[in-house]
Amino acid sequence: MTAVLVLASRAGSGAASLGMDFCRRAGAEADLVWAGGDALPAGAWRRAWRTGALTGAQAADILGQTVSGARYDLVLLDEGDGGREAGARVAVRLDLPVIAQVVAIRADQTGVRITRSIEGGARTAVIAPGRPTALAVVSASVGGTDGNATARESAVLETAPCTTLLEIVSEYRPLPAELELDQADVVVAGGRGVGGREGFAQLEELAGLLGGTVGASRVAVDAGWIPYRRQVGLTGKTVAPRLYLAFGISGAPHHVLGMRNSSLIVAVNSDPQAPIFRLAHVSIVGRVEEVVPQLIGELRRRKDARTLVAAR
Amino acid sequence: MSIIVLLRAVSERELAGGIRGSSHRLDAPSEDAIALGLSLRSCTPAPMQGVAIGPPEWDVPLRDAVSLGVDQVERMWGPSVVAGDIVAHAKLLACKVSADARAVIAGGGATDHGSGLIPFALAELLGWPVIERTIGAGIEGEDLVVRALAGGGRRTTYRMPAQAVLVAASGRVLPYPTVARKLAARRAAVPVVTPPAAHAAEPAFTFEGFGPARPVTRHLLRPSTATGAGGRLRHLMAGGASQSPARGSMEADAGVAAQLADLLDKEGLLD
Repeated sequence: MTAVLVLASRAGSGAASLGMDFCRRAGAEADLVWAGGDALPAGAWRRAWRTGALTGAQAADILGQTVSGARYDLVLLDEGDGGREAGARVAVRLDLPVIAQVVAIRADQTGVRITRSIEGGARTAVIAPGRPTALAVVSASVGGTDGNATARESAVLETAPCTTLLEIVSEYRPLPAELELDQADVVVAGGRGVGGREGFAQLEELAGLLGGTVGASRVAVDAGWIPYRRQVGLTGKTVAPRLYLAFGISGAPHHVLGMRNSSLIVAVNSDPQAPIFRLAHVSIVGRVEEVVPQLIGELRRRKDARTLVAAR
Repeated sequence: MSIIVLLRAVSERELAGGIRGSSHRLDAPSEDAIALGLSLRSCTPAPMQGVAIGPPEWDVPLRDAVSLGVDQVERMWGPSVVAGDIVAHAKLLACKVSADARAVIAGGGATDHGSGLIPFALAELLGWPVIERTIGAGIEGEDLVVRALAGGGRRTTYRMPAQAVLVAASGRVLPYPTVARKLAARRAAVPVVTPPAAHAAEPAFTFEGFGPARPVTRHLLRPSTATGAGGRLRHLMAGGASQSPARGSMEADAGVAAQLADLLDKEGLLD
């Protein structure tokens, strides 16, 4: 029987969903190393080991010990959250094949077949691992699934303290307004559909709640609603944040060129035929002036709830 | 003392048939790495050496790297090089890192189909620390001082006495090379190193076939409750976009905000 090991640290883990999906179809069983809090990712896990938050090097230590102590056919990790570092380090230590940007996994009579994205996502390649155990680093484009989670065995793993040769000299946290577009993890961008300066004030509030900054399309900059240094696109800045929220932006080619490499693109536009919906990972047909206040309210409510829990 | 920069070229169909004589160009992460290398070299007289693992078509883009400021380039290629084998590539690159190297600088994707795993594998082989999303590097006294981006736009400054593998943050802008530099770079030699048989390991995997790209959609929001069966099908086929705005209570539905917040939470984007 095929055995799978998954290392995951967030609820929307693509590695957990791909691993569980593979197990369901191949009749395999999966163990989980979970560094993401109370609720396990969806699936029927054979064993679940809980750990605290892990750095890439710590995750590599844990994976290295777990993989060398048992026989796994497949080890799955997420691309973010130190997964790339852990995958590369374990592959070197144990001389295992490591395949990155994995988007699908299947099994047939001759073994496991792994599909990875190549050429910047323009094509995929099907790969047959040549060793009994293979490491797969799952692409950030693979999303998680919802559902119940169960584990037949559960345990807590103690992690060794992180040792590093690096000394942190200083740390600086800029305010949202100071944050440059190309350095932000979250960009909340607005276009013609935002309607004016008042709309951008709301986007700034939203960006503050998400720890990001505000961007704009050329139309909004030309209208004088926001300064030029906030323009995203061919004649502005090129950005690749973890989250790009596009409000009231149609998706003209000169804008898309500046943000198409963002990890997660959420587009809100009242025109269902807007070209940005062809690029977006999440598309919402709606009026900006209605969706933005709702989202601000929802995020504020969650933030207050978290603050309350933390205070208790 | 030297600075090693990992370089990679990508195919650009529009360049085919042009006067450059190559349809390949340096990829953006390599340009980020060169820009970071230039900032480090401005603090130390160390030469900057570019290393790539790639086919002969990469010679023209590697000369472009010389015109951008890399002092010398070297390309590794031969029958023993297995495309996409990260561990094998890292071992090859580790052989090129001399004992006096101060830093190895890579872009977000380096020499391995852009997966970005090479810097970590190389750091593991060399026993060096690795710093991601580096925006600046310099020398203070004998120490290497590195500024890097952390989550939420935070900037962290590290100091280390020894060498390090640095992964350059994306979006750095390189100065456009002068015509004189471009002309001189055209004549630059690109030595080709064929990996010795000792490095020709058994392939860790084989490519069995190629296919089309996967769709980018990964989250589907629930369609509006007011939408009919046809609308729901269109919603699914459009990757979550409602195609019926006229009765799309989705836009007025407070549930959309909750779904979106759930999704951001799932992606680890809410602190």
